[in-house]
Amino acid sequence: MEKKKLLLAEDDELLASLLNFRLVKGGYEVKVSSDGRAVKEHLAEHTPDLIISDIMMPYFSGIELIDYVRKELNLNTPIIIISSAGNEENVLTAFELGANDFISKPISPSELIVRIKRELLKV
Amino acid sequence: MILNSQTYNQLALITAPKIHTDLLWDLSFLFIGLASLYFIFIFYFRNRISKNLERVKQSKREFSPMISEFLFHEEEASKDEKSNYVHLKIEIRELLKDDFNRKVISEVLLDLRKDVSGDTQKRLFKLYQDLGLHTDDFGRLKSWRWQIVSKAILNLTQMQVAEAYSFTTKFINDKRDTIRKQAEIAIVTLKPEGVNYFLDTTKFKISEWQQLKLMDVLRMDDDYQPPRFKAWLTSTNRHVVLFALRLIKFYNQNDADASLIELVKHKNNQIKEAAISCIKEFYIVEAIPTIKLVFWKSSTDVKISILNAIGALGSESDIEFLRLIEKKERNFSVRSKAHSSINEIAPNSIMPSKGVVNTAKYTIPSDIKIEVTEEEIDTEGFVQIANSNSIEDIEIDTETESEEEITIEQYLPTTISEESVDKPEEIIDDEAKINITKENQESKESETLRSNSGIIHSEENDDLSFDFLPFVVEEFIAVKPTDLDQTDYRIELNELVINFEEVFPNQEVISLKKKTSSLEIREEELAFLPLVTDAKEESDIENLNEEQSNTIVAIEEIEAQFEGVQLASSANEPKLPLDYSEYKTLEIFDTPVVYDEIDVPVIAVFKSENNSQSDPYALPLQNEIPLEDTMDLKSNANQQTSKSYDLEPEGEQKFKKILKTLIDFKEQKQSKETKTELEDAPLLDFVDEFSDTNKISETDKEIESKIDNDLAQELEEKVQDKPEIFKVTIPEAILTDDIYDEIIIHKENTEESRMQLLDDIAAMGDQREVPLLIELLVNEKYQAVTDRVKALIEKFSETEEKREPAIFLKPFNVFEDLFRTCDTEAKLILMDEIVAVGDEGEIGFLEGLLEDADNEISHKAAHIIEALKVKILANDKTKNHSKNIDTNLVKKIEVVLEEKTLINYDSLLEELQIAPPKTSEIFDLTFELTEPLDKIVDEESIDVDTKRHDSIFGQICCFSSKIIDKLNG
Repeated sequence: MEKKKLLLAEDDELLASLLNFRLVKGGYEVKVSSDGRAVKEHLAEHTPDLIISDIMMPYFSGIELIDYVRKELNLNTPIIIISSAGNEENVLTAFELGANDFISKPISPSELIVRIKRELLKV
Repeated sequence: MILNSQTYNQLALITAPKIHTDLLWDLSFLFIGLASLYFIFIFYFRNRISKNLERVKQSKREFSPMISEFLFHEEEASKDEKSNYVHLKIEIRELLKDDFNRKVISEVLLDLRKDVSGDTQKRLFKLYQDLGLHTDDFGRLKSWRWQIVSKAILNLTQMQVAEAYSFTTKFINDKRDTIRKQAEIAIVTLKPEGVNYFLDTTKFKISEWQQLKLMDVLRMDDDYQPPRFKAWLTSTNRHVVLFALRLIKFYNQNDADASLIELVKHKNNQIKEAAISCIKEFYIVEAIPTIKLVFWKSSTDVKISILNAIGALGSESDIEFLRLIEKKERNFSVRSKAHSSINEIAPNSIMPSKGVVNTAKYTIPSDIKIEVTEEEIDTEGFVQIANSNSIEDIEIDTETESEEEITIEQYLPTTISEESVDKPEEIIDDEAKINITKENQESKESETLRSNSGIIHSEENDDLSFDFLPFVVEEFIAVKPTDLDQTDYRIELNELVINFEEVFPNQEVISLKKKTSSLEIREEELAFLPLVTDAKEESDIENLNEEQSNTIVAIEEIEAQFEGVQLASSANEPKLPLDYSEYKTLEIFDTPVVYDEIDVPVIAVFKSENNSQSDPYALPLQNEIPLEDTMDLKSNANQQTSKSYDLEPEGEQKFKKILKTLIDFKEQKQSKETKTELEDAPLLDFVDEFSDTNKISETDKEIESKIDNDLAQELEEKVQDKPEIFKVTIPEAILTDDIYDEIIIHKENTEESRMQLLDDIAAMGDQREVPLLIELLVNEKYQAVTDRVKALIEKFSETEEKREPAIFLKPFNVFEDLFRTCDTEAKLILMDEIVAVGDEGEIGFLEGLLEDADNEISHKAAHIIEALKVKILANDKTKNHSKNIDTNLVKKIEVVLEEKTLINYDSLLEELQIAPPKTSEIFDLTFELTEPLDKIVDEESIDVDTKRHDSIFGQICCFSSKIIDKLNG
């Protein structure tokens, strides 16, 4: 069975590494990008099955990423937003722009796996 | 030397200090060296820090998968994973031997703690302790630097190292605030009973922010079981007491009533307020006396808190205390809070007073108008009528509700006093006041009757109008009003037939009937109203009884042929049925007659016999159709009436008697002459509708519109004598083929009527009346009338002859336009042409040329005028069939013209230096002046012109123009 391709956009390397480890262990093929530009470059060449993106990223925020994916790339790829606590306004904006789900820090990797599965099932 | 060692020479006007150049260089080298050292130091440490960071970062990248492996390792993992896990453990133990690695791993775990939650976080705590990293923090607690100790306590607290509890308790009363506060949080966090220890042992102030952080720590612990915090209400540390009070309120510990009441007496206002807040929260009514007691010695904030608690807990017995505060207290906020508390205990006990105008002296203006809608009148007024009177025939729709309910407030001023509002009876009475008519209001007896019946008061409502109501009347002609009593009226009213939407009460009718003589209702005002009458008592009953049997025959025929007459089957029925089959003819005298539905073209207005004055109940049968329309209607009626009715003389006579008694006659303002002439016209018209003797029509408006009821007595005689009917052929000048060939006109035998007609014709007629007059003259038998007709014929004939001439307009002259644009020579030529083609219209133009500045033109104009007059004269003689043309004149004209033309010709030749030809070949040319002559000149003139062309004179005339045309190309 082909592994689902996930794009993880997280500037915190430790968290990204931790989540990457957990997701790979969960059976997904994960591409980690530490900033927005790398995400755009990757999206220009690949189309992941699901995107996990932090809102606060250098060069290219998660909100802009959603807008880029939805309007410029016209992709319906599920997008899960990772936001910090107290950042609900950005979450609302993300949903308005087309985000599918969101999870707030501190992240429970187990919860994230569940949400990813659910979004992939919708697709 | 000295000059050489100095940098600057002393110049005039400049006194700079003398500096040795060597010293300056020395200083420069010194500062350059210091700067270099500084930069070297900066670069060195920056590179070192960067390297460390890079190393840490690199270490974190290396350790991160290892830590992740440890965090997400599962017992159910495969053997490879387990062996890998074991290898990692061994590897990390080797790594942990290095302090740097320990530090890096510790940082990694601390960083990850902030980003992960749930089970991963717990594993992280466990890993932290498994790796022995907490021991490093324990060692740091012994450091003398507060930041290291604080950092160690924080790490132990974040990594949930329970073993650190005993170590951190030592720092509860540390002098260093940062360590103490961090220790307080650590104690409360690491163990549930830590808060107890903290509250028991702390001696220092607990800041508000620290209290919030401590409470937040307690709140985040889902499994926390709070102790009874009332135990710390007795603490000597007031901050502990205050924190305990807040914890009591937060955890709803309501078992500290006595302590709370006692704490109201505390010196500290914060504790007081917290205690009062708890008292209010836990509804401790027993604390009210205490808080009343401490009120006067409390601060403003505490007072407000106390009043707030009294408002929530107090009863009416506390209002007196609050009133006292309202009077005694100086602080506005406290007084306002006291008011609020009073209203909270007893709502609306204190009303707003500031800025509110006293309206006790306000009264309702006497001239206020209260309008009543129709629906209200229906629902209020007639309900009352129905209650007071037993009129069964009147259907009152009490269910109708007004769409716009008129309330008193809508019409009263906004500042209406309470006294006026408290008098609903008066207002309702005002609402019910109805103005029927101004005349009715003036009638005191009517008002008295209404007031006695308790129905309507109308004396003060002059502005109310009820014109929209239909007027329903009951006719009582035969019975004198004085003989009627109220009982009789009710009986009669029960027999009334009401065929209208809304009806006045019977007593209103009675009162109006009684006051008939005093009422001055104009007939025109009531003309629009339909008439419903009860014919039973309006005529002479005795005469009717005698002739009833004879009348029935006629009535039957009326019903059979005349659909306009509706006869109700029963007088008791409230409304006329629409089904005509229910009608009965035998009870015609007991049935009402709806006169306005009669289609008979009776245009006269009747008047009652006994009515010397205008009777409002004797509604006129007034046809308001104009004369022209009436004629059309009659004509159409005659066309449509294919079958007429034949009344025998006796039946006709009797029927007219009946009609005389049935029909109300109306008094009209008319001259007696007209009345006498037209007295029988309406009746005859009416009768002739039932007779087939002749088609009856009327042509005179006076005949249709006016009649005197005083002549009603002569009606029978007129009928007996039979009206004289003759045919008058309408002149063709008046009638067209579409109208009747003849109209039968009822002729008045009197000479005066004929003369009146002739007077009208003389006043309004013209020559078009001549054919009519001629016909009248043929048929006329009265000599005076005949003479008058002749005089009119002569008058109109003269008028026709003496028509005013048409307004003379200056004729359009084509030469005038040509003269404006040509030169003198061309003008002269044109003037010659005028003689040929012109007429009298050119004379005026030529006379204008007599005054021309050019003598040549004026001179020739005089000649042309002469010639033109001659020509016109000749033409006139030709028209008068006189062919004797004055040849002398013509010859004279020709000679004149010829001479003139020759002169012009010679002068022209000389001017152009042209030698005249010896031969006359040029005269053989055909001239082109015939075409315009054909159009303008008549045949005679054409003949003349043709002759003229043929003559030498004509050729000469044309020659000049021909030459000019050739010269012009």
